[in-house]
Amino acid sequence: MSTLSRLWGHSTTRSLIYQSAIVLLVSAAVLTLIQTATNNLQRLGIRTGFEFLSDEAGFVINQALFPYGPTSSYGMAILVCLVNTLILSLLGILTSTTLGFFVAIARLSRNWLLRALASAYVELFRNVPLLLQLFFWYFATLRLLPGKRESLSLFDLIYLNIEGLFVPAPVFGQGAALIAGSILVSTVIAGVTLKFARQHRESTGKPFQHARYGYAAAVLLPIATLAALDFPISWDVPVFKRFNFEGGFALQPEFVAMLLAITLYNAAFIGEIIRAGIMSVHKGQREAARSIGLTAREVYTVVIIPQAMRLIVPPLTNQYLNLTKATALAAAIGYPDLFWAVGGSIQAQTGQILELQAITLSTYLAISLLIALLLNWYNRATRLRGRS
Amino acid sequence: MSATVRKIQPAQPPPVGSGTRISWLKENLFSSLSNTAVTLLLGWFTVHFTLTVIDWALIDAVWHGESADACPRDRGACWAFVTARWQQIIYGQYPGALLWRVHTAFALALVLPFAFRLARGRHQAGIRATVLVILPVMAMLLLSGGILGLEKVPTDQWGGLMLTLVIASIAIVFSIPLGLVLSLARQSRLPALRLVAVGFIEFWRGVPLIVVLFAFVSMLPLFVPEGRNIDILVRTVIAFAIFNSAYMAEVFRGGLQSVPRGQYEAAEAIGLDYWKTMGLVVLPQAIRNSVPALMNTCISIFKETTLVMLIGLSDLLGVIQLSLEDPDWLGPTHIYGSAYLFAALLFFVFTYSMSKYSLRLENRMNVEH
Repeated sequence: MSTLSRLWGHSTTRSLIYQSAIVLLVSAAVLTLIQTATNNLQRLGIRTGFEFLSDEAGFVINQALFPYGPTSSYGMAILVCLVNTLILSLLGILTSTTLGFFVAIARLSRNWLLRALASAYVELFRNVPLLLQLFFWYFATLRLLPGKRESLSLFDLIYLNIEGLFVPAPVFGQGAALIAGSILVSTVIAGVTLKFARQHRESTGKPFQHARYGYAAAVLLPIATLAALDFPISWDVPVFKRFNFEGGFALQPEFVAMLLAITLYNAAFIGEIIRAGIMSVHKGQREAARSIGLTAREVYTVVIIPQAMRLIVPPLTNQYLNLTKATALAAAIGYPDLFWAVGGSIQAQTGQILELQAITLSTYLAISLLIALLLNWYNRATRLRGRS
Repeated sequence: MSATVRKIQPAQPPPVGSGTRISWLKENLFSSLSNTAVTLLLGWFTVHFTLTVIDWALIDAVWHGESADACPRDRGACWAFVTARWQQIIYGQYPGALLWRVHTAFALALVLPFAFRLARGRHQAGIRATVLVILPVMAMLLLSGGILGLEKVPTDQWGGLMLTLVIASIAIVFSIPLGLVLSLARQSRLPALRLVAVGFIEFWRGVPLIVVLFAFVSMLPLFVPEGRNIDILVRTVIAFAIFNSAYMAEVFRGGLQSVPRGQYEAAEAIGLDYWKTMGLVVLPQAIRNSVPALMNTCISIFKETTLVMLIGLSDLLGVIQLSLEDPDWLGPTHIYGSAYLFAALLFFVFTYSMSKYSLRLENRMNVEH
């Protein structure tokens, strides 16, 4: 008895006992769930396993970036739709960051009216549910657009009508691979120059005079390659012919509506994140920068922004993550994204709920973890050194 | 980049007449040529926009009517849709004769914060706990019925704003304590507990809510023993509570991390055990620091309730969407616009007042001087 109570009194033992109890409880719960699910699956006669991925899908996806037809497999359908999700997310991140940047500038402006309008925008768009905004753009606004014959057009290059947005598509001729290669090489040159210039500055305190040659080489190389190959890139401009647009790239109205909705919604949040980051830089920093004679622009580029970035990036990444997850809502208006494919047609046709949900959940989870990993890496790289 | 002094700036003259209205105008609207141009351009835009909106939404609007015919294409906003469908938008298909129960339940919910704050004296904590448990339970029983001679109203008749509020409040009420427990588990000294908590939190935070809702609705029947059926509203609310508890956990983690290390050490130094350290020293400070983020999460839960329409429940947006697709109201596109704008206004009233309340709460709880 006394040995037992002595053991119990020992904190390591106690913690071990607690932890074993937790592990046991969690495994018991998981096992029970698996057992019940297996029983139910057998009872309902649902097929299990991932063989269905190679079966013929048989449905149409109206936005496919690589060859997909009704005879393609389910696996291919999922891949095509995953790419659609990624395109929407990436474009959404680009557009909402750009707009959010301008919103932040407007919110910090000296002009009262501009400030007031920007705050009105922010309050309005972040306080109304995204799904409602999506419906507003899709069902109430884009349906007001004219038909194909009366398309709104921008310089006869871009056309907008009730069937979507038609934009020019690049056409790569011979040697496109060479150009891609030259862009890659020049990126490496620019990166190495940047890194070397920074090291040089940090060790000597003086700017690296020859950096400009590096940058010039990085810019000139792709141009030179293009010129040498006689500019093999042309644009395929959409043209209206009798009944339909031909050529170019057609963006579905669902895509346009979702892009509009996530851009306007997230830009309101991103604008606030950027503004908060800039405001959080201590006033003394600005005053000190001004007093040592930096111009208004330099105050921002070398003093405020570098400090603000450390505070902006983590919540900004989080917002990007939210945006990526929110693109799943596009399925509600029929945009063929990952959730649309897996939650809709494939589930209805195969009935393999568990496998499909596992695919969707783990794909979104993988995207999230990837972004989180990048953020951690950034945080480590920009962490304040020498303070604790 | 090198920073060099280019020239010494001459001293500026002292500001003249600062603090008057004219000087405010000059500083904020007409300080420079470009600033004046921006003001004039935006001013013109604002006036034009406001006039158009007033014309469309008030002067040219249609207020009454029974179908889409009342709202021709060349007229302004179609508020007739809202007035005709008012009862469904607020209560869903809840039986008209039993609406007093909904009203009483809402009244109970409104009484709750007052009862909570009025509790005084020796039994304050006890009274508060009782109020916090009893009033919501009474409200829920009133809504669902089935006991004490109250006629049962199945949840598929619940809808509209009422359903939105029910889902949001239950999700908030359950996710807060669950999140608090999770955040404590995440900070625990036991590695196994920490691992379970981190896995749980990061999983839910990594997936979209709509996918989770869908998974819950379609998969839950597989995970319960045969013959047991769970109401779809209950499934939805469980999904909401679990999903958001992960976000709440992160909110409280932020609060816990804002409590200085010295507070833990001081509490241990005067001989408090874990629960007393947490309950008397750390949590009161941590929770106070979490309030702004907590309110933000509540606001996003409220907005996210709209997703339930995608799994077949008729919340506020769901009812509006269903009514819009009703043959009676198939007509010009601007009926859609009017209906969505009305819904947006309703949501805005709730979320905006929540965010203003959060600001007030923040100021009141701010004990630093």
